[in-house]
Amino acid sequence: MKNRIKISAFILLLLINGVSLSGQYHTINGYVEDSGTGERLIGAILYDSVSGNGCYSNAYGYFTLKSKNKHFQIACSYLGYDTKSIRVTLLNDTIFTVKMNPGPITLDEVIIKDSRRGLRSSEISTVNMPLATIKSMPMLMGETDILKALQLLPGVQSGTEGTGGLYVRGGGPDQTMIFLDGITVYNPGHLFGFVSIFNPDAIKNVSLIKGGFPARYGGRLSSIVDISMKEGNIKETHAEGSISPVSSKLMIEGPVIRDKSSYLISARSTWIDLVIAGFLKKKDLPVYNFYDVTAKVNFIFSEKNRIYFSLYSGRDRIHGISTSSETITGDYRYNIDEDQFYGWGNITSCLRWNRIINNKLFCNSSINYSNYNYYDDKYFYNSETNLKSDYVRNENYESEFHSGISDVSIKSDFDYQPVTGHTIKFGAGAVYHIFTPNALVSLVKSSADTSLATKNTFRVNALETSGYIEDEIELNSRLKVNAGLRFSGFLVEDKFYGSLEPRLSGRYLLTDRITLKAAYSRMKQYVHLLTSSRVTFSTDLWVPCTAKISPETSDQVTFGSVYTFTNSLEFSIEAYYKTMNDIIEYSEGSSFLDNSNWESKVETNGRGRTYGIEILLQKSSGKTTGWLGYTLAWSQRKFEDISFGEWYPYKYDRRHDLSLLINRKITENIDASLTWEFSSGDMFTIISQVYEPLGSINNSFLRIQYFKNRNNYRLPAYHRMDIGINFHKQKKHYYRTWSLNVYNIYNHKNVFFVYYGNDDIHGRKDITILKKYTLFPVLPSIAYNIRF
Amino acid sequence: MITWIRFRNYLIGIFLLLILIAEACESDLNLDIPDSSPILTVNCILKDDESVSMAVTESLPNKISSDTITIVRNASVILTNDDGLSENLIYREQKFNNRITGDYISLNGYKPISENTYQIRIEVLGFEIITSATVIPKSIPILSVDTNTTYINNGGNIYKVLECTVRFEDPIQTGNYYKLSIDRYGLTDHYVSYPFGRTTETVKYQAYFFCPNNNAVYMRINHSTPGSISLENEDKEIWVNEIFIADDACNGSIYELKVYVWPAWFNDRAYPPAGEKITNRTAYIRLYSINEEYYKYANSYFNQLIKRNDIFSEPVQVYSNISNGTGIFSGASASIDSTIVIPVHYNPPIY
Repeated sequence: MKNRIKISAFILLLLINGVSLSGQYHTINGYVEDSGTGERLIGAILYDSVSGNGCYSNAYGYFTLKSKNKHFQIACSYLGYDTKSIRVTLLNDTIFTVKMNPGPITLDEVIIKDSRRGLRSSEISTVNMPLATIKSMPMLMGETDILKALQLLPGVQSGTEGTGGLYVRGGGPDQTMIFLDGITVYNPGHLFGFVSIFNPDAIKNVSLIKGGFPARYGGRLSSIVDISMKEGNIKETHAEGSISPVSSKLMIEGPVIRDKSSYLISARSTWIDLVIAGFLKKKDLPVYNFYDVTAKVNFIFSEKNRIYFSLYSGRDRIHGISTSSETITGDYRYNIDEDQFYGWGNITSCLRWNRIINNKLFCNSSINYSNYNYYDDKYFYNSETNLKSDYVRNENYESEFHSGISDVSIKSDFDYQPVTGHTIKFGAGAVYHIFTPNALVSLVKSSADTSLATKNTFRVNALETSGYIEDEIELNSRLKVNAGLRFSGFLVEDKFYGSLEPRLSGRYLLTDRITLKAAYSRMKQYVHLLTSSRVTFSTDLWVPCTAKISPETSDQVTFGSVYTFTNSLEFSIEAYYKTMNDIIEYSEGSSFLDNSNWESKVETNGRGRTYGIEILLQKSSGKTTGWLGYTLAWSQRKFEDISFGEWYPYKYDRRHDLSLLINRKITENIDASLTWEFSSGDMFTIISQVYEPLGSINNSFLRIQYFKNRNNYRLPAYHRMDIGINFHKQKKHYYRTWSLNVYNIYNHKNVFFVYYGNDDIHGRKDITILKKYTLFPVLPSIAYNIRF
Repeated sequence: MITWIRFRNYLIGIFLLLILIAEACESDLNLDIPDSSPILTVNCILKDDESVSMAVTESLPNKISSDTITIVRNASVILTNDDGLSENLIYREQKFNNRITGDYISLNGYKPISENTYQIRIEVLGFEIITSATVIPKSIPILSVDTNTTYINNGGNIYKVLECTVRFEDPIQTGNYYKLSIDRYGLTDHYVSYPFGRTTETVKYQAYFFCPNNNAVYMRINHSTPGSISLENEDKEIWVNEIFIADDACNGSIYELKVYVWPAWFNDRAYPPAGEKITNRTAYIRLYSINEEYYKYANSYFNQLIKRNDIFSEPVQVYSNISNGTGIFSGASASIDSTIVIPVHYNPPIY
């Protein structure tokens, strides 16, 4: 037993110290940042040509390079920036800031070798999408949308047309964790999901992980979207604004104290309501608007300490149709007024502290708050007045329905790098959740008294904890491995769910141009989104696992290969197989409109299996850039009481999914882009036959609708082409861009919604047919952007 | 420069034209639904208090769902059980309210036996052979039946009704299911146009009742009087004539089931002869012990009926235990009690 402990301690020591035991290393560590704005750059590539060591800057722009030699010849590159060459001779370990100048990419030979991040990284199924690419894409209604850009990637599908829901590798929309500056965002959609809440002017970086999850990530089964906000220009004040058919937005950033502190404030608001108010009477249509505000400040206390505070607040509001009616019957006058308010919104905030503890250890700690709330309030005012006397009787009914989730969390992450090529990340965190899936308060107020008709508040509090350790090590020049273990726990209703989630990913460089990759990861999800299989709304309920409902688990294996043709042309192929357990689904006949206890209307202990192949060919530099992606996939579900317990296709089981993006720089001031999407249609349950129920005698009203299994019919294929053209011009005091976009240029009538109706066929008017409702025809838009 | 201005004007012109073309953001279009072949439907509940009767019909494509269902008249239907029974059921046709109905019946009036296992095998030309099997559960005796008149609030209105309390003891083991119905025998009139007149016969009247305990009880609509119940009513507080009970609410205990009978049930004929008085009635309370298959069928069917027009609810698949076809083949054992009830006269609601 003692020997076993000694061996374990030795292995742990070896793991922590790595090969540093074999000799003395010189360390250069610090940040990579934009020289003009002070913005820290995530994923910049640093390569020391003296030692041959390289590394990437982490999610906070921090890097560490080590060498046995005190001389460093560092080349740093980042997409959209000039390559920076630095010669350093170290007398002591030094904290160093690499300042990058924006400009065209001119990679020299040394950098070319390491610039192929997809080739050399142990990451698999991970995409970092530059904001420049997102901003250059054609836009729906002139709105740049981060989530819609991600939907063009292989393995990522959209839900309902035009909405930003992400369905990754056969998973549901709740199986994607969306982080904004490390904080969970529960509902990422404005305008019923047609516009994402992320204002691209305030965003610095977007990355998507579909598989091979590092141990530092958890909480969802299918994917992680990690969005980092800009920090604000620490050198000088700048502003950027734009106006589109949907909204107008403004972003201001600048130093609070030059080189010490900066701020960023970005605000966006729709102006649809103003247009409606201008052309229509207010009572004719519901009044809708949304807004969001993003703000961030950061303070550099010392070269080792930096504090950030970020805030997001956004809300969609609909003032429903107000109706007012007056009728006179005999001696009485009756007045009825009705008002309805409906809305949803997110608030997130984060206080973060970055600290370089020593030249091996970096720490990021944060306290976070996230809230998502949906409400539906109705007010009815009735009055009865006797016209011949003073008698007046009032009776009002008020109903306020609220649903939401609030999180308060704390976490710390550490990056420990004993030697170059060996990074250990570890950390821990805790989230206190307050779930309010449905809280209904209704009041009846009359002239005589006020009575509480209903008060039905269902609230669950839960504590989610997690801890992880991951070790990324380059075992030799060809083999790199990232092994990790995550522990997570969930305490709810006096029941504790604990889980160990092993993670392993690795790459093997077959040749200088070809790499093979593989990964396995187990993920655990303690919160569920109750969403209809027919439509996705902001009314979907976030609910926790409870004493009766277990957390969801997934196991995914991924194999892939990356082949680099040239410096900018890369081909990758990945195959995955994912199983899911203990997933939940609305039970047959249940609906989110039903206010009964949600636990009673879900099927539990469901299983899912998804598998497929993803192919991506991408060109990342030159006058023409873009990608071509293809996915061949299957996604199925199984519940004991759905479809007689047989496997059935998931609603978004799209067999083929093809996407094409082309960006072309036509002249110095004009660029154009084109996207084309094609995917197999969604699955839908159609009634194939009707038959007589027990005891009925030819009564068509009571016939049973028959379908052999759920989702037995594939709707027509979805395809659409969008184009956009941007005209840029540097004016005397500002830089402006006109963007012309055409959505669905060949006007394909895609399915938005299907329903049963009757039609006149061969002289019969009662033939039941399936009808599709299409939402977006060819839709041109124009947007104007100004920057100064 | 002039070229560029022309180009720009051209672009603006195209843009404005596109806006005009996109005059609407929505449209309805029809989708082709693939045709599917009809399937055979078998509906049969073997009851130990009734002789065997089974309906065999063909399904209809959904697009012509209001057409008349085809009754299968030429099927070979064989009923067997573990005790060596093997009987060919014979097709018998009759008219009911001007509709033709056909059933396969036992020629010698065979009544199924409680706790026996039965199988069916049906062959119809052009269809796959249909099979199914079921066990008739053991009957559970009614311990007592109490009746009383009372008032209930239904939809904000107060009605005088007959309260009927049925008590029975649920066995300790799980998986027991029950069905309750109440009926009586009374007169009904049949009118004939030539020679003008009417004939009167005795028929069974099923009571409509309301069960307040809808956690434990599931209710079902009446098949023979379509439209009498609003299917849009999503809650289960509706007047029905059969209720189904799962034993998860009453497992191993003496269960007291309370129902309120709709007063119109006591009336016999729509236009009784002048001076005819409503006399005391004999009500038959039938508590059937049913198996899980029957309960699942009834539960899913009711669920489908009330949710079929709700576009936001999940689709409901009606349970079936018929191989190569659809429908239900199940069993029930009756426990029957009767009681004399004093008619409750229908009164307008008390406001």
